[in-house]
Amino acid sequence: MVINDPAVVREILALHQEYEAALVGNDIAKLTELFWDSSQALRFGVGESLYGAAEIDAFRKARPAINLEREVFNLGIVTFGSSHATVTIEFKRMASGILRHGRQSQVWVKFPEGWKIVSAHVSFTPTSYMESAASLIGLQIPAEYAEGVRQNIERSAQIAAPLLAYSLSEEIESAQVFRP
Amino acid sequence: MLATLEAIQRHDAQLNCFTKVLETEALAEADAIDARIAAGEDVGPLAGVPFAVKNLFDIAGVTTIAGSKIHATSPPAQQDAAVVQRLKAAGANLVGALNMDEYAYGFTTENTHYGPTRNPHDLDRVAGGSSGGSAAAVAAGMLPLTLGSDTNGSIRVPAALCGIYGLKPTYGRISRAGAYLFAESFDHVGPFARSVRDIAVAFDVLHGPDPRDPVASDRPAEPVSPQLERGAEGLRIAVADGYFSHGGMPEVFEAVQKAAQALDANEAVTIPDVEKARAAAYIITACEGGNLHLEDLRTRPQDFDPVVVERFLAGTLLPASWHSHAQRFRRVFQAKLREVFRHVDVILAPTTPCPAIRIGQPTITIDGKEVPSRPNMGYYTQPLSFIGLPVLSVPIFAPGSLPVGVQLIGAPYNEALLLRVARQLERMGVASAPIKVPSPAAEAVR
Repeated sequence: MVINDPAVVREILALHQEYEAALVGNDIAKLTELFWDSSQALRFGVGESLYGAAEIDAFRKARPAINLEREVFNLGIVTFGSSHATVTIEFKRMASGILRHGRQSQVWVKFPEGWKIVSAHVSFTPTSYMESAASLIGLQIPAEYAEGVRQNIERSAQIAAPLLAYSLSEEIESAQVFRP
Repeated sequence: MLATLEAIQRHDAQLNCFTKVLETEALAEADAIDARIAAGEDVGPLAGVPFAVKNLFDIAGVTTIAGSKIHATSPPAQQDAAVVQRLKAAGANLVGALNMDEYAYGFTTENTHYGPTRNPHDLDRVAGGSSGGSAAAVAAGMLPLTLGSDTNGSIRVPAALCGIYGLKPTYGRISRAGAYLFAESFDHVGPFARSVRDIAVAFDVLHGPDPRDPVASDRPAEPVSPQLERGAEGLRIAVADGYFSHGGMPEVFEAVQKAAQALDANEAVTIPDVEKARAAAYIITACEGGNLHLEDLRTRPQDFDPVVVERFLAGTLLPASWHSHAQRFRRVFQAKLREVFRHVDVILAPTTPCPAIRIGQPTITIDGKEVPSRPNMGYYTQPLSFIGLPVLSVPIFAPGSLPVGVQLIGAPYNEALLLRVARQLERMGVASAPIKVPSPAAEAVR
């Protein structure tokens, strides 16, 4: 079996580019076409576990077509013979106002009708509270301060704990002005 | 004025109080005041009194740096801060601007950009902060009067560590217009001096409504100077127990006892929920301080003082729920204190948990436990500014040791009572603020 036959790699690269264009353009027909039309097709998304072509297709149709742009890097293609391949990428995209780092793996198989994705998995790498909150206010924590800031937030949480445990009734509003 | 400038010349190389000396302006103003006096004019209750201000107050023609490098390149202020205007209008003569922790976020005035301010009583020790330059300049006798600001203790702490009087008035009672803010919910401004009368005269000139400050109280000014000699007679004075009788070194409690005995204050009073008040003050300070500097934290975090930048960065990220909860808790704590003040007029408590620490000293040992020194300097002050209570720190000296402070705490707008009690302590010789000229020998040894 030939690993990474250049001709096969070129084929898969073209399909990967086709898939990315369809994803960013929310071309649902194309996306559905690129997935294996089988109840055994699988797609684990960031938040959804989809079993079978019908579930995958339904998810695509219900998905709001916003913020789909992503920056792809570290593309990896490995082909096995002329009918099996894996495609892996890392990507960055905005999600809920935060720039997230994610990864995607696809398994491609060539059927008589052409190459199809038979299994895919997309995930975001976990992000800390500090990173998420900083991103929401457009703040970049310099690397040399990150650990200090993280500790500071942790210490603040310890300090705040007894205060937050103190229950305030709904009638209590902030006191700004002081009278005798 | 020449004598003042000479004293600054002589001592400030050792103490590092001043970030700006307005020599030419002060000499010209002195001549102008002399001329007005010669012409028979009334130049005011502070005629010719030299004063200086923490460098977060606007001085027309001078850049307000607020202890930072970032603001050092800002254009000069267009007009004087309200408090500078008021002191000048009363005849006082502005001599310069004084060192502080960057953006007032500290209790020790160990400023990385401008160097630490040293304590005149021991040059190896901090002056306290954040208004360290303001306190040390008065303690060393360079000036009789300075101004500082107090968010969580920044007037009271350095006053205590330098052995002088420092008044944090009721929130909103002295205008903050033209003062660079830190955490607006608690920012106060007030005077430092070596006598109760000087504090009283300054307070009388400084306090009262000001449309330029959105949180200034409308309450008319009530002169306290005429009431000073009434003493503590008839006042209910008690010592704060619980939180305020733990967590400090023995000498600070001895100072409180000394003051209490002199005043025949045998009662103790418990202020409830003080730990929560301190926590809430901490959260609000972090959030408001961080937000105030958000733009610079985004674009030039490397230009902040490294000792404060991580706290500011963290402050921008704390949950809004914490801030709201802390703000609402102020109402609860205020109601509890109002109840306390139905039974007592003036409360005594230590100002700091210990005398001045050494410059660079990271920890202090309290009750056999090692705790971080810098945040703990505000242990007793922070819960009180939290709800804007007026507090005067009075200096107490034990023979052969460093000074400590006792806080006289009153209900809102009761500055007069605090000053009367302080005057009584001063008359009895319990409170005193002797000038401490730093000795050149100490410099040589160091």
